[in-house]
Amino acid sequence: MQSATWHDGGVDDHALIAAARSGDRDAFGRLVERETAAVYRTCLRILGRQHDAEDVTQEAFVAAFRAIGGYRGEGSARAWLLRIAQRQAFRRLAQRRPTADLEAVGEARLADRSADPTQLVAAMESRDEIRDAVAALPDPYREVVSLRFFGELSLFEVAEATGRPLGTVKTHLRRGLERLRPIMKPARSDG
Amino acid sequence: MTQHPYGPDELDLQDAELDRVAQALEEYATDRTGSVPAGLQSRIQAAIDAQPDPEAGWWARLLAGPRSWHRLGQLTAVAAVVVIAAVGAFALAGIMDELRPDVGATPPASPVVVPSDSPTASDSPSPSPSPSPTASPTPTVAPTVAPTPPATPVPATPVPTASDDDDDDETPEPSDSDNSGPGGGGGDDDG
Repeated sequence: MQSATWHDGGVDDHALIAAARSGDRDAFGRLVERETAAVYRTCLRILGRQHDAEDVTQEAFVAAFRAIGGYRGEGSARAWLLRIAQRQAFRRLAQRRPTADLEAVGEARLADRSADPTQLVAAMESRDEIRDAVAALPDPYREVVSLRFFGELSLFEVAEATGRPLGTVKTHLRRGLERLRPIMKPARSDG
Repeated sequence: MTQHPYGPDELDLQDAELDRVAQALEEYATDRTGSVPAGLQSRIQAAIDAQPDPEAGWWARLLAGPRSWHRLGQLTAVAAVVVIAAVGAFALAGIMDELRPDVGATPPASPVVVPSDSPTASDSPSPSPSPSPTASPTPTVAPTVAPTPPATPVPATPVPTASDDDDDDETPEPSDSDNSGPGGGGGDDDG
């Protein structure tokens, strides 16, 4: 039995996915337990807001559950989930109306009276710039950059998840970084 | 610290500017490492539980087991038999056509010209018969209420009774024109 494999302790991705695909909801629940943090962090880095990241994390898991029948088991389950999540997150980002992003600053920093407001704003702007710059990249570059840095996957994992050769993934990463270079200027040294 | 720290040799090229951009992305990701909000996992799990069972993908159904392969083999065999039968039928018909003149049972069909007295084919269209006035104005409106003859009063003739001296058993039927009286002289003419 496929489902017995992961219940017995040998939890590997393929066993979990195979069990979930055959209708074992507990197996998918185990996947949720294991990967929620990684998916949430990736969504938070793309979106910058906690509430949006929570919503998109949930949507990504639901989308993955619906699509699990078509998942061929290429690459790790995490990479597969992160790929779904980053797509959903960028879609949400594109639909978002521009509003003041106080949440992105963080409550702790806002409550810290010793923090310099100008530095907070500068940091916030810097983060917004990074997010916006990555979101503005063409699709293959954006996907590789976000999976590599926001999803914390290795290039090999990105290649497996996207089904592209490792050399192609490296090229996409390099071109993505080259496009980000003029936007992400060196840290200001002015006082 | 991310799970897969960026290394300068990752892109197979030496470019300090690209390394700087990559490190900026990594710093951004490290800065946005929020812990998973409480209740997010259970919220995701509830959303998954509300979903119907996922459907298997086409490739999963294809590889599902020998039953699929058996069915596929059956369909292929049926298709092959149909194709072979059709090709065989055409070939047989061709062979029969080839063999038919060699048998000699039937002479080749020669056009038989039968002289006909009346040439029927003419280039000019024969005049069609002039329309004959068939529609004679006949009064179609007939009096529907035909004068019915007045009901002739049936004379209340008493039923002739057989007399004792009457040898003849035949009793003449009374008719309308028979104005003879009751039992009027039925058998007098018998001579």
